[in-house]
Amino acid sequence: MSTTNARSFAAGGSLLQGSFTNRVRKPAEVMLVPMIDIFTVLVTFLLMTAVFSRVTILQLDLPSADSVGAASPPQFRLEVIVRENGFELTNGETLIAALPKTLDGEYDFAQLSQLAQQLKSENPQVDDASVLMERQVRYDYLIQVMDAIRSAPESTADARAGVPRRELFTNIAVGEAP
Amino acid sequence: MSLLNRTTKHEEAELNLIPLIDVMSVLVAFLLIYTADVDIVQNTKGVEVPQSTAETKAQQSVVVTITKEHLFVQGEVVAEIADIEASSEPLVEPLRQVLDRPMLLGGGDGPEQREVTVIADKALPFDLVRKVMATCTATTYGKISLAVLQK
Repeated sequence: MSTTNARSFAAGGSLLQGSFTNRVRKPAEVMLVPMIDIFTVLVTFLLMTAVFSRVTILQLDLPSADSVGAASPPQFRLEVIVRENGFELTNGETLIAALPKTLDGEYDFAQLSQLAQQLKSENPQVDDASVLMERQVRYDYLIQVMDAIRSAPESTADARAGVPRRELFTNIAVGEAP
Repeated sequence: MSLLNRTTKHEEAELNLIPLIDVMSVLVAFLLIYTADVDIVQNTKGVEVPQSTAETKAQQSVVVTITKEHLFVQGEVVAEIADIEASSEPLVEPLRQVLDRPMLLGGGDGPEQREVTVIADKALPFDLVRKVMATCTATTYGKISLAVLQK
């Protein structure tokens, strides 16, 4: 009661009295508002520059000059030829299978993945493969073909559960179709 | 008395700012950490990168970007796509000149360790990408990586 009295009195009182009562009454305060300003600007800036999609890379297997000299005995090497009208799988010399496009005009990636898994189980020690593309085929299909022969899910249920994929042919070279 | 009480209450009304600051600090920290490791291959605007199951993270390297109109090296325009498609040469000559610059080091000392990351639009014909890749290997780059979006 006495403090409120003093205050109302100070409002109409002298300058000295007013500053004195202020010092007594007001609690010490942290200046939060400028800090919030800075934080808001920071948050908006970081949100705008953030990239929410993860960019990863596919490494290509480039034949280096010295590996040609030390030629290993001829062994199985998977070659996938991507033509305008479908896939051709060869082992470097002879044709293994031809996969034409499906009826709706799409490449048959399911079948390619199946065949790659089968060939991997026949030749478990082989990691090398080549993808040979015709000139006008879209670049997107190169990535999809590489995905199909690089790894495969253990089963469709595992693919949904996030189980690591089984590796098939991991060293993939890229070239032009003959 | 009741009138006096009301006035003092009114004067001390304050915004509760501390929780707001807490939330913002967490947001700032999260975003700072999150942006730290994706800035290597970031300027993919205008390029629709294909999706893949690849899990290898991007490394520091020379970045060659192919959009539908232009060819960039480290963000600098090097050639027009129309010109490359029109020429019958097997290599992209302007790109070769830029890649031969001694300042442009893709990590590592020997040519076998130097690396190029190719960011290409998925609608481009393979022929164009092959020309760019052939140019990279014809200069002193021993490794080529294709940038993809993780599915």
